[in-house]
Amino acid sequence: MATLKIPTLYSHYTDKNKEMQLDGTTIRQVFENLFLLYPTIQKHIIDPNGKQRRHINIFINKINIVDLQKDETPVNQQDVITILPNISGG
Amino acid sequence: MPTDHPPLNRDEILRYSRHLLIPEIGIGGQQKLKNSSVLLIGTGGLGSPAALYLAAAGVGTIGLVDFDIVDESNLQRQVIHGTSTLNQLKVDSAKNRMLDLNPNIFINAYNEPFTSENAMRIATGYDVIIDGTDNFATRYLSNDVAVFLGIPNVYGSIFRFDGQLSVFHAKVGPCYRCLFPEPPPAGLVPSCSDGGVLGVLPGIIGTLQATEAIKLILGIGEPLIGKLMLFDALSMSFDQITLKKNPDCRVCGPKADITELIDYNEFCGVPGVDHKPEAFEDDITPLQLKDLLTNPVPPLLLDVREPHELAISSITGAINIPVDQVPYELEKIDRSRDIILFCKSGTRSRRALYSLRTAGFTRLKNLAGGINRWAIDVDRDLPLY
Repeated sequence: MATLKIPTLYSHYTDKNKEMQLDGTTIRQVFENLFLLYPTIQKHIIDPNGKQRRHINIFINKINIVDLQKDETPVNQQDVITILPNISGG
Repeated sequence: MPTDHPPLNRDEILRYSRHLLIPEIGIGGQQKLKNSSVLLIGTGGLGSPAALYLAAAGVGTIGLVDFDIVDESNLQRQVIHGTSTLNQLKVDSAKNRMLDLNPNIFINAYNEPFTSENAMRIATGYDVIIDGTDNFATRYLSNDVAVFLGIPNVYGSIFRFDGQLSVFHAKVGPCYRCLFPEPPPAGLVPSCSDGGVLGVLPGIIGTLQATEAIKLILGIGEPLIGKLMLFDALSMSFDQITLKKNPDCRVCGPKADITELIDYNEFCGVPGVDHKPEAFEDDITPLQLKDLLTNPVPPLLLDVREPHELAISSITGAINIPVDQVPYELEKIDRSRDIILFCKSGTRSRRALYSLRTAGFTRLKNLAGGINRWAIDVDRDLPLY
């Protein structure tokens, strides 16, 4: 299982869980499993057309998935996936 | 902007002695700091510690951009201001504190919003920008100004327990737009005034922004160019991720089509200034609501704040469904009645109103200014928060 890190912004939708282990061999599968567990987070990550929202970045082991194979990027057991949202607080 | 930079005098050498002892700084580095200029956009949570440490470090010219006044709710984190400066202009409050800390520096105070109209005039001539703003429109503007001027933009951003830090410098690395081509849809990401922030968090991130600015001026260490640091106060963890230039970036990419400043409020779909509420036709004022509540069939009051906020203040008779739960709990809302939605300040309740309208509800009104406005206009026993 890979580790998924949830920012505080979205931990409201994951029962305050900020780190979790999820199955999946691709980014897409990992997030499908996330949405099965916590459906209300989905609209914050995915837009109404089913695409990753443009103010959200997803990193696997420090690398942005847009620089890899996007949501088909392979995921291994020891991988750490990070959701990076655009926040504006100052 | 001062152009004459005399050598450090006897007093300054004593003041900066702890810097002069560091081989990487020394007299030469301290003189670089004195000759340098930093534009700080925002003198709030991030700007407070950044301004104090830049002043103390001896950055010779510091520009401060803010149009706000010091409010009591600022003092939980905006430590450059104080109880004695309540209701003063933030730029004046900050300037006086900085000059008390270090009278050897020069401060330009810009008591105006940072906008497309004045941004280039204000920013031209500075060596570094520090982005300490609190809204997306000004963040995109700060980025684009830095790209057009070819200077680094030290970025910091916070929410509740999380902080982000990077140095965006399009000449040698990615810019803010490379990472975030678009802002979130209006209302999807709450601000600190709606979602809250741990008071010490901007202290940490703002101090790190000052550190990066000083490193850039001195040309020492490894600036966070092409990297972004994520800080989580709850787990006390610092993570770093790698950022790359986006070849499709509209402002710094090879096919950039944004070549001048744009209308950032329109781009972000929200007012650029968080503190100026927009008026809507389906708003209702607290006094109008007070009258409606005396009707034989009063409206249904729908409080869309989070449950922990009810302990701060509440309106008798309201039912509570947090804004994100509203679409899933429609059966709890009586469609046959007029419905008045409210939250703390009116932003979340407007989002809930749109959500209910999409679900077919028609008899909807939003309490303008939220329960805080109600506490000012109707029920003065309620606290403001």
